Amino acid sequence: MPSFAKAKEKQRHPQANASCFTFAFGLPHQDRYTQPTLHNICEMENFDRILEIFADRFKQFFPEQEDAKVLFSLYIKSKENPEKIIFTESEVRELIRKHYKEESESEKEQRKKFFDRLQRLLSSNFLERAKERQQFFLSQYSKQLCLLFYQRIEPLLNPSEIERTLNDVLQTLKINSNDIESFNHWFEKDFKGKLETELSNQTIALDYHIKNLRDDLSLKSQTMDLLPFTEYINKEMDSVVDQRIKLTQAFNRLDSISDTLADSSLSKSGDFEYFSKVGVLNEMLNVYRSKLDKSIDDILRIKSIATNIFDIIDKKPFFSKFERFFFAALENSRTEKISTRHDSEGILFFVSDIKLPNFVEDLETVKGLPSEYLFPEFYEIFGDSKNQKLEVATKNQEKLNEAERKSQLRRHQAERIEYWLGNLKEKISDKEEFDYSDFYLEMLNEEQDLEIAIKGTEHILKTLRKENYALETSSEFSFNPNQPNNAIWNIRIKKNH
Amino acid sequence: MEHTNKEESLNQEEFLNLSSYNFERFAEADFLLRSGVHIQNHKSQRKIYEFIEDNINPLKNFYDRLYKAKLYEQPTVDNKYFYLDAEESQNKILNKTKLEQDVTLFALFLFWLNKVEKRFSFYLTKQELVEVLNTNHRIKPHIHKLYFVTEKEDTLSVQKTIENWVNKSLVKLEKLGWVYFQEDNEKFEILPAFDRIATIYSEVIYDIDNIKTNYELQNQ
Repeated sequence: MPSFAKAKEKQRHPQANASCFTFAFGLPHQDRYTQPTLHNICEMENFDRILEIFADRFKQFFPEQEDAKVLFSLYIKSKENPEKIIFTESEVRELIRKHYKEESESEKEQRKKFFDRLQRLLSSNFLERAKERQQFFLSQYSKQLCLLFYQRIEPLLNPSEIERTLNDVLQTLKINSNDIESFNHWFEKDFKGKLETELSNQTIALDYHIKNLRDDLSLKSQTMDLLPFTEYINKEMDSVVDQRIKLTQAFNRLDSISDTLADSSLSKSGDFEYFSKVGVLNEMLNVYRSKLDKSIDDILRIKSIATNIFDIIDKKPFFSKFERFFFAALENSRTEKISTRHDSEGILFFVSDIKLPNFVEDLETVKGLPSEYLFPEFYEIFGDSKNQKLEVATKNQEKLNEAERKSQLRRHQAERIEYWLGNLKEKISDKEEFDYSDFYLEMLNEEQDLEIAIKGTEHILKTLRKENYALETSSEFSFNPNQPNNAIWNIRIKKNH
Repeated sequence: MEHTNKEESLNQEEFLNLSSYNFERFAEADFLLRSGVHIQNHKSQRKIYEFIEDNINPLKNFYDRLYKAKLYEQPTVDNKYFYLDAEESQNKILNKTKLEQDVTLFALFLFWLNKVEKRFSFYLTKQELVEVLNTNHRIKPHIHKLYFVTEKEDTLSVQKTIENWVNKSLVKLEKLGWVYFQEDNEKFEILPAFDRIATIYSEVIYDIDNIKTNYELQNQ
């Protein structure tokens, strides 16, 4: 039975099955079974959802998502009324306007855009011109494409479908598991062609169900009062949990495939090709199992947001004010300068120097990593600053003197550090182990300069590491009573052999 | 006098007296806090969070005395987060950096989206954000005005510009511990510390109607 005939059948007998589209458009509560399926496909909201599920695949076929919506609308119209094959220009125009949401434009602009878009549909072979020049029909290619997508979304959330498919696939597996050729055929046609497709559809459907619930609750949280909203959440959560339980039960039966494979004659004969294929099969099953497992995290997170419902309701007035604040900031922001750049693929893009209105203060965070303090690469620039010559022309004498003083200080520190490094090397030359903490305190005591002691320690330890000494740090520390503000972890230097 | 010195010396001995079982987290926690990262009880930061929680008093003391900075504990609905902040005038070691204003605007947009429009979305995707920026009639015209002077057709360049703004801003917010990217670079989670946006702007938010009126009068 074609998918739309099925959908109509379900409309007439709504209790017969929790249809695929029931899932897509709402949760399958009893009071919702009356929701029509086919009619709703035409609604914008549902197009967006179909487009979302297949977003990646759509990109391969349609230059614009809106084109896909126009085509699907035409396709549905012709399915609803099989005699309707030809569409007038005004019918196509109406759909293009509807899906491109451009009511606010002038008539002239709309006409121009309509012709551009119509031209694109014609040149992409989605539409063909009828005998009458201002009439159009869907190309065979479009029809097949639309049919493919609708067949794909048809099964949606229906755990019993997995069970039925699983039963069929198990029957055929029993017949085909005696020789490798039949098994390979079963693997491609039955497992991949039927069961895997079904598992994939059902996991997509559950994901989608959860996303649908999130969006729905977000929307309702803005409009509903606390009590009805709480009841609504409970009802919807029960439904999604129930769906997941049913799906888990269906997935649990997948073990019977593994059992049948293990008992087969091919398994007993130790056929290598058979085992590698079984490995692939188990991996595929595990992928879907893990997707199902992940859904429980998502459900729990919705639950945890719902648990804080009082907070959501309590803070409504605040967030309503925040909304006004955000839009005030957005509307009153301005641009100082816009520049253009190209990305790696040569696509042009714009960079804007945005200025927020003065009531939006800057967001400030600490950025206090003293990099030279932790990573003393600065030893390499102990000489005069490279920029010093350039600075002469622009800086006044006072600044130059200050720079010179700092430069001398750096040189002095570097000389003293080199002295202490030499001193230490002498001391450890005939020892297997050496306590660095005492040396540090000696250096600090003699220099009376914390910077030399700290920078010196960084430099000395780094040099020793390079020269193949091992450093062991303990959780105890030492300090000198004369310098009580400074302590050092106890470090032992050992020779590596 | 002698007594005071002795007391000081005793205190200094206990300076940064970390609990013994997880003290090795100090270096990483210190690095993150001084980089402006907000730490919360999230799977990506749990060990650091626990370390800070276990050692909160010595750490507060440490940052106060050594950096003249304050380690804040900010409560959220169901937990709390930590971050380091400092008064610039008091401080010579810790600098502060300003988020670029386009990133700040993005942060406000994301906060609005998360708290008002998609209250039950515990994660978002870049594609979703771009979609809202492209379709929301209250937002799109202003964003286009800021980036293209006037509203433009959806060309490749327009999309690239919007995507770049989203990408660049999310990278900055990720560095602050406000969002967390899952396995791919597309789907991300809003972390509890992102609530700091509301704290920072709370005064303006409560008085927004007056502020907006005054601002518009001044700029007429």
